[in-house]
Amino acid sequence: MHGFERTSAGYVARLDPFERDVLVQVVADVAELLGDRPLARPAGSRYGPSARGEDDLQTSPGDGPRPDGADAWTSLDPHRDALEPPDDIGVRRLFPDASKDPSIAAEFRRLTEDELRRTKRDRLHSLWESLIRLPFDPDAAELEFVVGPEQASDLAATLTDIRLILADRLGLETDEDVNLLYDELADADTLAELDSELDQKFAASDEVATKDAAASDGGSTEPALGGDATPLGGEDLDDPDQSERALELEIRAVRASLGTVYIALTWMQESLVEVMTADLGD
Amino acid sequence: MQGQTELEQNVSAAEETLPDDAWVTVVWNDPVNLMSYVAYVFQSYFGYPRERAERLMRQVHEGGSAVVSTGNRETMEVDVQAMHSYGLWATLTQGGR
Repeated sequence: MHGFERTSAGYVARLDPFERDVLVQVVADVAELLGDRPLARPAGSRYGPSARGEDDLQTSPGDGPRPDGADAWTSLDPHRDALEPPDDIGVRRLFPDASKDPSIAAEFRRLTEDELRRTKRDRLHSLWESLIRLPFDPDAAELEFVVGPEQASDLAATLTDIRLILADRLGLETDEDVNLLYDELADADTLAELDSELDQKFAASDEVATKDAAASDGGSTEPALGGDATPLGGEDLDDPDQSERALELEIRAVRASLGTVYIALTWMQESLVEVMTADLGD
Repeated sequence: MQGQTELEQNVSAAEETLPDDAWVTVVWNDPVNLMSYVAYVFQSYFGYPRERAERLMRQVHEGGSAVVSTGNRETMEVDVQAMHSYGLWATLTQGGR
Protein backbone atom coordinates (compact mmCIF):
# COMPACT_ATOMS: atom_id res chain seq x y z
CA MET A 1 0.00 0.00 0.00
CA HIS A 2 1.17 3.49 -0.87
CA GLY A 3 -0.46 6.42 0.92
CA PHE A 4 -2.15 9.32 -0.83
CA GLU A 5 -0.11 11.73 -2.90
CA ARG A 6 -1.21 14.83 -4.72
CA THR A 7 -1.06 14.50 -8.50
CA SER A 8 -2.60 16.38 -11.43
CA ALA A 9 -5.30 13.66 -11.55
CA GLY A 10 -6.25 14.16 -7.88
CA TYR A 11 -5.16 12.43 -4.69
CA VAL A 12 -3.77 9.00 -5.54
CA ALA A 13 -3.12 6.00 -3.31
CA ARG A 14 -2.02 2.56 -4.47
CA LEU A 15 -3.28 -0.77 -3.16
CA ASP A 16 -2.44 -4.30 -4.14
CA PRO A 17 -5.45 -6.48 -5.05
CA PHE A 18 -5.38 -8.27 -1.69
CA GLU A 19 -5.41 -4.98 0.25
CA ARG A 20 -8.28 -3.78 -1.92
CA ASP A 21 -10.26 -6.96 -1.18
CA VAL A 22 -9.70 -6.59 2.56
CA LEU A 23 -10.85 -2.97 2.42
CA VAL A 24 -13.95 -3.83 0.34
CA GLN A 25 -14.85 -6.45 2.95
CA VAL A 26 -14.51 -4.04 5.88
CA VAL A 27 -16.44 -1.28 4.11
CA ALA A 28 -19.26 -3.74 3.32
CA ASP A 29 -19.33 -4.95 6.95
CA VAL A 30 -19.57 -1.44 8.38
CA ALA A 31 -22.20 -0.37 5.82
CA GLU A 32 -24.29 -3.36 6.79
CA LEU A 33 -23.84 -2.53 10.45
CA LEU A 34 -25.43 0.86 9.68
CA GLY A 35 -28.35 -0.80 7.95
CA ASP A 36 -27.23 -0.90 4.32
CA ARG A 37 -28.35 -3.84 2.21
CA PRO A 38 -25.68 -6.56 2.06
CA LEU A 39 -22.92 -5.55 -0.36
CA ALA A 40 -20.97 -8.11 -2.34
CA ARG A 41 -17.73 -9.30 -0.77
CA PRO A 42 -14.71 -10.12 -2.90
CA ALA A 43 -14.82 -13.73 -4.05
CA GLY A 44 -12.43 -15.97 -2.18
CA SER A 45 -11.44 -13.27 0.28
CA ARG A 46 -9.50 -14.88 3.08
CA TYR A 47 -10.06 -11.98 5.41
CA GLY A 48 -12.38 -11.92 8.37
CA PRO A 49 -15.91 -13.21 8.63
CA SER A 50 -16.20 -15.37 5.52
CA ALA A 51 -12.83 -17.02 6.12
CA ARG A 52 -13.25 -17.48 9.83
CA GLY A 53 -16.89 -18.41 9.80
CA GLU A 54 -17.77 -15.74 12.32
CA ASP A 55 -18.72 -12.20 11.65
CA ASP A 56 -16.29 -10.14 13.71
CA LEU A 57 -18.07 -6.90 13.05
CA GLN A 58 -21.52 -8.34 13.51
CA THR A 59 -23.87 -6.10 15.35
CA SER A 60 -25.41 -7.27 18.58
CA PRO A 61 -29.01 -8.43 18.38
CA GLY A 62 -31.44 -5.58 18.70
CA ASP A 63 -29.49 -3.05 16.67
CA GLY A 64 -31.01 -4.04 13.41
CA PRO A 65 -31.16 -1.65 10.50
CA ARG A 66 -33.73 1.05 10.65
CA PRO A 67 -35.87 0.10 7.70
CA ASP A 68 -35.05 1.86 4.48
CA GLY A 69 -37.78 4.01 3.09
CA ALA A 70 -39.45 4.36 6.45
CA ASP A 71 -36.99 6.85 7.92
CA ALA A 72 -37.53 9.51 5.27
CA TRP A 73 -41.13 9.82 6.42
CA THR A 74 -40.92 9.04 10.09
CA SER A 75 -38.28 11.71 10.70
CA LEU A 76 -40.79 14.28 9.51
CA ASP A 77 -43.45 13.04 11.89
CA PRO A 78 -43.54 15.26 15.00
CA HIS A 79 -45.47 12.60 16.94
CA ARG A 80 -42.96 9.92 16.27
CA ASP A 81 -41.56 8.09 19.30
CA ALA A 82 -38.10 9.13 20.39
CA LEU A 83 -35.27 7.05 18.95
CA GLU A 84 -33.32 5.00 21.45
CA PRO A 85 -29.52 5.20 21.19
CA PRO A 86 -28.09 2.27 19.15
CA ASP A 87 -27.48 -0.88 21.24
CA ASP A 88 -24.17 -1.59 19.57
CA ILE A 89 -21.48 0.42 21.40
CA GLY A 90 -19.41 0.86 18.23
CA VAL A 91 -22.41 2.16 16.28
CA ARG A 92 -23.32 4.42 19.21
CA ARG A 93 -19.91 6.04 18.87
CA LEU A 94 -20.94 7.10 15.34
CA PHE A 95 -24.18 8.59 16.71
CA PRO A 96 -23.20 9.80 20.18
CA ASP A 97 -25.46 11.62 22.64
CA ALA A 98 -25.34 15.31 21.76
CA SER A 99 -25.90 16.45 25.35
CA LYS A 100 -25.62 15.33 28.95
CA ASP A 101 -29.21 16.49 29.30
CA PRO A 102 -31.23 13.39 28.34
CA SER A 103 -34.13 15.37 26.90
CA ILE A 104 -31.87 17.48 24.66
CA ALA A 105 -29.97 14.35 23.60
CA ALA A 106 -33.21 12.52 22.77
CA GLU A 107 -34.62 15.40 20.77
CA PHE A 108 -31.37 15.82 18.86
CA ARG A 109 -31.32 12.12 18.07
CA ARG A 110 -34.92 12.19 16.87
CA LEU A 111 -34.20 15.12 14.55
CA THR A 112 -30.80 14.09 13.20
CA GLU A 113 -29.96 10.41 13.52
CA ASP A 114 -31.78 9.12 10.44
CA GLU A 115 -30.21 11.74 8.22
CA LEU A 116 -26.77 11.18 9.72
CA ARG A 117 -27.16 7.43 9.29
CA ARG A 118 -28.05 7.89 5.61
CA THR A 119 -25.08 10.22 5.08
CA LYS A 120 -22.64 7.74 6.63
CA ARG A 121 -24.18 4.81 4.76
CA ASP A 122 -24.08 6.65 1.41
CA ARG A 123 -20.43 7.57 1.94
CA LEU A 124 -19.54 3.94 2.71
CA HIS A 125 -21.52 2.83 -0.31
CA SER A 126 -19.68 5.16 -2.66
CA LEU A 127 -16.29 4.12 -1.24
CA TRP A 128 -17.30 0.49 -1.77
CA GLU A 129 -18.26 1.25 -5.40
CA SER A 130 -15.03 3.12 -6.09
CA LEU A 131 -12.99 0.24 -4.69
CA ILE A 132 -14.68 -2.55 -6.62
CA ARG A 133 -14.38 -0.52 -9.82
CA LEU A 134 -10.67 0.24 -9.54
CA PRO A 135 -9.27 -0.39 -13.01
CA PHE A 136 -7.17 -3.52 -13.11
CA ASP A 137 -3.89 -3.30 -14.95
CA PRO A 138 -2.43 -6.80 -15.37
CA ASP A 139 1.06 -5.32 -15.75
CA ALA A 140 0.93 -3.39 -12.48
CA ALA A 141 1.25 -4.98 -9.05
CA GLU A 142 -0.92 -2.27 -7.53
CA LEU A 143 -4.26 -0.64 -8.28
CA GLU A 144 -4.47 3.15 -8.45
CA PHE A 145 -7.12 4.66 -6.19
CA VAL A 146 -7.77 8.20 -7.44
CA VAL A 147 -9.86 10.56 -5.30
CA GLY A 148 -10.98 13.98 -6.50
CA PRO A 149 -10.28 16.81 -4.03
CA GLU A 150 -14.06 17.40 -3.79
CA GLN A 151 -14.60 13.80 -2.56
CA ALA A 152 -11.63 13.74 -0.22
CA SER A 153 -13.41 15.13 2.83
CA ASP A 154 -16.15 12.47 2.58
CA LEU A 155 -13.51 9.78 2.24
CA ALA A 156 -11.61 11.05 5.30
CA ALA A 157 -14.87 11.06 7.31
CA THR A 158 -15.72 7.52 6.17
CA LEU A 159 -12.26 6.28 7.11
CA THR A 160 -12.92 7.75 10.56
CA ASP A 161 -16.26 5.92 10.85
CA ILE A 162 -14.64 2.61 9.89
CA ARG A 163 -11.76 3.16 12.32
CA LEU A 164 -14.21 4.00 15.12
CA ILE A 165 -16.01 0.67 14.61
CA LEU A 166 -12.73 -1.28 14.41
CA ALA A 167 -11.43 0.51 17.51
CA ASP A 168 -14.52 -0.58 19.42
CA ARG A 169 -14.03 -4.20 18.31
CA LEU A 170 -10.36 -3.99 19.31
CA GLY A 171 -11.24 -2.46 22.70
CA LEU A 172 -9.24 0.72 22.05
CA GLU A 173 -10.54 3.12 24.69
CA THR A 174 -7.47 5.19 25.52
CA ASP A 175 -4.37 6.50 23.75
CA GLU A 176 -2.45 3.89 25.74
CA ASP A 177 -4.58 1.06 24.26
CA VAL A 178 -3.71 2.31 20.78
CA ASN A 179 0.01 2.42 21.61
CA LEU A 180 -0.18 -1.13 22.97
CA LEU A 181 -1.81 -2.32 19.74
CA TYR A 182 1.04 -0.81 17.72
CA ASP A 183 3.61 -2.45 20.01
CA GLU A 184 1.80 -5.77 19.81
CA LEU A 185 1.72 -5.78 16.02
CA ALA A 186 5.19 -4.31 15.62
CA ASP A 187 6.54 -7.23 17.61
CA ALA A 188 7.56 -9.38 14.66
CA ASP A 189 8.63 -12.24 16.94
CA THR A 190 5.17 -12.51 18.48
CA LEU A 191 3.51 -12.54 15.08
CA ALA A 192 5.98 -15.07 13.69
CA GLU A 193 5.43 -17.28 16.72
CA LEU A 194 1.65 -17.02 16.27
CA ASP A 195 1.96 -17.86 12.58
CA SER A 196 4.16 -20.87 13.12
CA GLU A 197 1.98 -22.20 15.91
CA LEU A 198 -1.12 -21.84 13.71
CA ASP A 199 0.72 -23.56 10.84
CA GLN A 200 1.61 -26.45 13.12
CA LYS A 201 -1.99 -26.80 14.19
CA PHE A 202 -3.15 -26.87 10.59
CA ALA A 203 -0.39 -29.32 9.66
CA ALA A 204 -1.32 -31.60 12.55
CA SER A 205 -4.98 -31.59 11.63
CA ASP A 206 -4.17 -32.20 7.94
CA GLU A 207 -2.03 -35.16 8.88
CA VAL A 208 -4.80 -36.72 10.95
CA ALA A 209 -7.35 -36.07 8.20
CA THR A 210 -5.05 -37.69 5.65
CA LYS A 211 -4.52 -40.73 7.87
CA ASP A 212 -8.26 -41.01 8.48
CA ALA A 213 -9.00 -40.81 4.78
CA ALA A 214 -6.37 -43.42 4.00
CA ALA A 215 -7.67 -45.71 6.76
CA SER A 216 -11.32 -45.44 5.76
CA ASP A 217 -11.20 -47.03 2.32
CA GLY A 218 -7.55 -47.32 1.56
CA GLY A 219 -7.88 -45.52 -1.74
CA SER A 220 -9.71 -42.29 -1.23
CA THR A 221 -8.71 -39.54 -3.62
CA GLU A 222 -10.40 -36.92 -1.47
CA PRO A 223 -7.84 -34.23 -0.71
CA ALA A 224 -7.64 -33.36 2.96
CA LEU A 225 -5.88 -30.03 2.98
CA GLY A 226 -7.48 -28.42 6.01
CA GLY A 227 -11.00 -28.70 4.62
CA ASP A 228 -14.04 -27.36 6.44
CA ALA A 229 -14.61 -30.65 8.20
CA THR A 230 -11.28 -30.46 9.96
CA PRO A 231 -11.41 -28.12 12.92
CA LEU A 232 -8.43 -26.12 14.05
CA GLY A 233 -6.58 -28.21 16.60
CA GLY A 234 -7.33 -31.50 14.86
CA GLU A 235 -7.08 -34.54 17.04
CA ASP A 236 -6.53 -32.55 20.21
CA LEU A 237 -9.96 -30.98 20.42
CA ASP A 238 -11.07 -33.52 23.02
CA ASP A 239 -8.26 -32.31 25.26
CA PRO A 240 -9.58 -29.19 27.06
CA ASP A 241 -6.11 -27.61 27.36
CA GLN A 242 -5.44 -28.04 23.67
CA SER A 243 -8.81 -26.75 22.55
CA GLU A 244 -8.47 -23.74 24.86
CA ARG A 245 -5.07 -23.05 23.32
CA ALA A 246 -6.56 -23.35 19.82
CA LEU A 247 -9.29 -20.88 20.73
CA GLU A 248 -6.77 -18.46 22.19
CA LEU A 249 -4.71 -18.64 19.00
CA GLU A 250 -7.81 -18.07 16.92
CA ILE A 251 -8.75 -14.99 18.96
CA ARG A 252 -5.21 -13.61 18.69
CA ALA A 253 -5.22 -14.19 14.93
CA VAL A 254 -8.53 -12.33 14.50
CA ARG A 255 -7.25 -9.48 16.69
CA ALA A 256 -4.01 -9.32 14.68
CA SER A 257 -5.94 -9.14 11.41
CA LEU A 258 -8.38 -6.46 12.64
CA GLY A 259 -5.48 -4.56 14.21
CA THR A 260 -3.50 -4.67 10.98
CA VAL A 261 -6.47 -3.27 9.06
CA TYR A 262 -6.95 -0.56 11.70
CA ILE A 263 -3.33 0.52 11.45
CA ALA A 264 -3.35 0.45 7.63
CA LEU A 265 -6.49 2.62 7.55
CA THR A 266 -4.96 5.03 10.06
CA TRP A 267 -1.93 5.38 7.87
CA MET A 268 -4.08 5.84 4.76
CA GLN A 269 -6.15 8.54 6.48
CA GLU A 270 -3.02 10.30 7.72
CA SER A 271 -1.63 10.52 4.20
CA LEU A 272 -4.98 11.77 2.87
CA VAL A 273 -5.38 14.44 5.57
CA GLU A 274 -1.83 15.62 4.94
CA VAL A 275 -2.49 16.39 1.26
CA MET A 276 -5.95 17.86 2.04
CA THR A 277 -4.52 20.14 4.71
CA ALA A 278 -1.74 21.29 2.40
CA ASP A 279 -4.40 22.28 -0.14
CA LEU A 280 -6.38 24.24 2.48
CA GLY A 281 -3.52 26.67 3.05
CA ASP A 282 -3.21 28.65 6.27
CA MET B 1 -11.32 14.54 35.51
CA GLN B 2 -9.04 16.73 33.49
CA GLY B 3 -11.59 17.13 30.70
CA GLN B 4 -14.21 18.48 33.09
CA THR B 5 -11.93 21.16 34.49
CA GLU B 6 -10.94 22.19 31.00
CA LEU B 7 -14.57 22.36 29.92
CA GLU B 8 -15.51 24.54 32.88
CA GLN B 9 -12.62 26.88 32.13
CA ASN B 10 -13.56 27.02 28.47
CA VAL B 11 -17.19 27.64 29.23
CA SER B 12 -16.41 30.40 31.71
CA ALA B 13 -14.08 31.99 29.18
CA ALA B 14 -16.93 31.86 26.67
CA GLU B 15 -19.33 33.38 29.21
CA GLU B 16 -17.20 36.48 29.62
CA THR B 17 -17.91 37.58 26.11
CA LEU B 18 -21.32 35.99 25.55
CA PRO B 19 -24.80 36.37 27.00
CA ASP B 20 -25.68 33.86 29.76
CA ASP B 21 -28.15 32.08 27.55
CA ALA B 22 -25.63 31.46 24.74
CA TRP B 23 -25.05 27.90 23.63
CA VAL B 24 -21.68 26.31 22.89
CA THR B 25 -20.43 23.33 20.91
CA VAL B 26 -17.87 21.22 22.79
CA VAL B 27 -15.60 18.67 21.05
CA TRP B 28 -14.25 15.85 23.23
CA ASN B 29 -11.02 13.88 22.95
CA ASP B 30 -11.07 10.28 21.75
CA PRO B 31 -8.24 7.82 21.05
CA VAL B 32 -9.20 7.20 17.41
CA ASN B 33 -9.36 10.59 15.71
CA LEU B 34 -6.08 11.80 14.26
CA MET B 35 -4.79 15.14 15.52
CA SER B 36 -4.24 16.26 11.93
CA TYR B 37 -7.81 15.31 10.99
CA VAL B 38 -9.35 17.16 13.95
CA ALA B 39 -7.40 20.30 13.00
CA TYR B 40 -8.46 19.82 9.36
CA VAL B 41 -12.14 19.64 10.40
CA PHE B 42 -11.88 22.82 12.51
CA GLN B 43 -10.17 24.64 9.68
CA SER B 44 -12.39 23.48 6.84
CA TYR B 45 -15.80 23.41 8.56
CA PHE B 46 -15.54 26.50 10.80
CA GLY B 47 -13.21 28.34 8.46
CA TYR B 48 -10.74 29.00 11.29
CA PRO B 49 -7.17 29.95 10.36
CA ARG B 50 -4.71 27.04 10.59
CA GLU B 51 -3.17 28.36 13.80
CA ARG B 52 -6.49 28.64 15.65
CA ALA B 53 -7.64 25.23 14.37
CA GLU B 54 -4.43 23.63 15.66
CA ARG B 55 -4.67 25.39 19.01
CA LEU B 56 -8.23 24.08 19.50
CA MET B 57 -7.14 20.60 18.40
CA ARG B 58 -4.35 20.59 21.00
CA GLN B 59 -6.81 21.76 23.65
CA VAL B 60 -9.04 18.78 22.80
CA HIS B 61 -6.16 16.32 22.69
CA GLU B 62 -4.30 17.49 25.80
CA GLY B 63 -7.11 18.97 27.89
CA GLY B 64 -9.85 16.51 26.96
CA SER B 65 -12.23 19.00 25.34
CA ALA B 66 -12.59 22.44 23.80
CA VAL B 67 -15.37 24.88 23.02
CA VAL B 68 -15.22 25.17 19.25
CA SER B 69 -18.20 27.40 18.49
CA THR B 70 -20.80 29.58 20.21
CA GLY B 71 -24.21 30.92 19.19
CA ASN B 72 -27.90 30.15 19.50
CA ARG B 73 -29.19 26.64 20.09
CA GLU B 74 -30.21 25.98 16.48
CA THR B 75 -26.78 26.95 15.15
CA MET B 76 -25.05 24.76 17.74
CA GLU B 77 -27.28 21.84 16.75
CA VAL B 78 -26.13 22.26 13.17
CA ASP B 79 -22.48 22.38 14.31
CA VAL B 80 -22.83 19.30 16.54
CA GLN B 81 -24.51 17.37 13.74
CA ALA B 82 -21.66 18.34 11.40
CA MET B 83 -19.05 17.20 13.96
CA HIS B 84 -20.86 13.84 14.31
CA SER B 85 -20.88 13.53 10.54
CA TYR B 86 -17.09 14.02 10.53
CA GLY B 87 -16.83 11.33 13.23
CA LEU B 88 -15.88 13.73 16.04
CA TRP B 89 -17.54 13.43 19.44
CA ALA B 90 -19.35 16.71 20.14
CA THR B 91 -22.03 17.97 22.51
CA LEU B 92 -23.97 21.20 22.88
CA THR B 93 -24.54 22.94 26.17
CA GLN B 94 -25.99 26.22 27.35
CA GLY B 95 -23.76 28.66 29.21
CA GLY B 96 -22.12 27.09 32.27
CA ARG B 97 -24.72 24.36 32.65
